[in-house]
Amino acid sequence: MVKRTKTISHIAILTALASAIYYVESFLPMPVSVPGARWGFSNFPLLLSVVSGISVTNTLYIALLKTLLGSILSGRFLSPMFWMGLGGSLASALSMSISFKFTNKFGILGISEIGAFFSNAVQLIIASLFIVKSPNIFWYFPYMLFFGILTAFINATIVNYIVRSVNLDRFKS
Amino acid sequence: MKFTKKNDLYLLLVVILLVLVMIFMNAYPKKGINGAEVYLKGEKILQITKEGTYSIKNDEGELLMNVEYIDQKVRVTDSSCPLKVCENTGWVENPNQPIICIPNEIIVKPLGTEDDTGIDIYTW
Repeated sequence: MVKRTKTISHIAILTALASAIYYVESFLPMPVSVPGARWGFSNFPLLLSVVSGISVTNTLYIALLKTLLGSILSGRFLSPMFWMGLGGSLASALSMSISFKFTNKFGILGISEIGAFFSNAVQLIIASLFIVKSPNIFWYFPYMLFFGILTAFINATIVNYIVRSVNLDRFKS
Repeated sequence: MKFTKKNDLYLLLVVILLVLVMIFMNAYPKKGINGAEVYLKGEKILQITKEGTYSIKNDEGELLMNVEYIDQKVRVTDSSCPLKVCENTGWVENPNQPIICIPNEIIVKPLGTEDDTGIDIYTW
């Protein structure tokens, strides 16, 4: 019972953090004009949850909840941007969990890069299949990927400092 | 948990290489455009061949954006979307680069010169 309470509060803290960042991030201007792109700093609580070793299901819950809450706060619930963000964050949560649990080959930076890559790829696939219905949107893929690398590096640095200074073992479920 | 392992650097190198290759492929055919097509939710609603400003409206008659095609360049102005990404794309003269408006679900596809088999070589 105590363990369950701990897990719930862990998920709640990370979800609150992620959805707040998701909201604030929508005010940040992008340096280049790439359709549907955002900075993606709200992925660092996701990375933190993966690295702190909570289960895949709970990581997916955080990804789902942060997109729901963040998009309700920033007023783009059920808009095309919301579906792209949902697919992207679920894909990055899944790929980061898999690369953390089943291979022991990557550090925090590598896991973050994998998450960014799959997030961008799935976002563009969703956009090209369901929103604009044209594969031409992949013209913008390298620019998104470039910003994904930068954001993944920043996220990994933040998570690295948190992991070094906070004892995350007590949250393990 | 380490910050980086050796594999991370290889991964980073592969992704950066991928980015560079794709940017190079994007920039490759340097040709003018001679028109544009406008798609709304995957359906072609307008074909632009003459210079001028065209208004794009949805089924209810609401103005979504204006598309300008002048001097073998195309751009979007006065869009109704919140972030104005499509306006900030600016003038497009590369036939491969589409202008995309995600909130309005519009894609403006420039049309390349139809004969892509060597007009440039002959004129040179």
